[in-house]
Amino acid sequence: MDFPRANGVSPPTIDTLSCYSVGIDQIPYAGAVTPASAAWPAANRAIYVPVNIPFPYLVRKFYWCNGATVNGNVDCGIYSRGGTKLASTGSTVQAGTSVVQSAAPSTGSILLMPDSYYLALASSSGTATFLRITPSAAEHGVAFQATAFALPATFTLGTSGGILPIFGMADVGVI
Amino acid sequence: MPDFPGVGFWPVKDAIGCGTEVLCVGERIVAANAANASVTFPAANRAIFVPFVVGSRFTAMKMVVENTATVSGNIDAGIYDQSGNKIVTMGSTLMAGANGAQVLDIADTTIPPGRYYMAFACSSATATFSGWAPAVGLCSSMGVLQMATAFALPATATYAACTSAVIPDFYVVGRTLT
Repeated sequence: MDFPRANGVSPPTIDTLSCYSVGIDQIPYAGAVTPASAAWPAANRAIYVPVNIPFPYLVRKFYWCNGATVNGNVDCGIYSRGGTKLASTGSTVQAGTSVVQSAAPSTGSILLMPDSYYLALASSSGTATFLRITPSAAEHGVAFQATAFALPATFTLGTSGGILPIFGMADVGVI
Repeated sequence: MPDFPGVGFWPVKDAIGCGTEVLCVGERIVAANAANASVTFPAANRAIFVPFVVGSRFTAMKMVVENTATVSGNIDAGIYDQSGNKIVTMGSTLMAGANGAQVLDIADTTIPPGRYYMAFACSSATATFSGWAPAVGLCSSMGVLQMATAFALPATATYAACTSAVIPDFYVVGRTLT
């Protein structure tokens, strides 16, 4: 069987603001919100954001947008719709203020087939800052999990805290 | 033949620019609440590469950039593949015409479905263009790349992470063939 709609056509990066995730969806509720640096809501918390990809996608890197203060460690990855961790960076020292930080999946590149997934980001620090927007994101499937650093093998979705960090995945080496 | 011969999963457009959603980075500009405004080109001789995709064959015929108040130096625009190989560029062209669109008549070039980069370079760091200034870091997250000392646009681009927070408003105009 040929890959449905493969075509080799896909964007180099997919993140929480992409059309494949929830970024646009929050605008009709509260209007567009300018991203700002803000502290992670609680140490060891994980945030899960739905992403739906209509093409095969080879994940070479995960990335996140650091804010004005870096602290602690970060873990960024991807889960199946059912809550199984498929890949993540593993615990990674947060480094570099106001830049995009990226890291490869700890087990190497992973090929995602067209499906629904959750992008996941967790921080060991409640003072580490990330670039984020503060929409009413709960409506769009964004969920939290306490005590989830490093990212667990399976997730348990909790309620949203109304924040949307900007993070994602890339199939290119340079971000 | 594909099992899903597919009609138009990807939108078909006659013009694709940085503000185009889905095919380029427009939805992320919107989601980031980056207002369109006059922006100063970030560094002389820098090239900025903005990713875009086409889902069907596309013939690029012109590149367009929206100049604002300060006209300075020369500009160049074109299209590159994922590996940094030049597909077509205009070549160094005097920036001309404040507060209006400047059209660059590139050689008609048909590209197959795939991912590409729209390239724009300027020899001046004082020239101003319509564009967006998203929060620092967001250009990289959108997949925007850059190359220093890249004027006029080179035969082969060496892509580097984007360090500026400026996306000029430029676009490629063509017509779809299939």
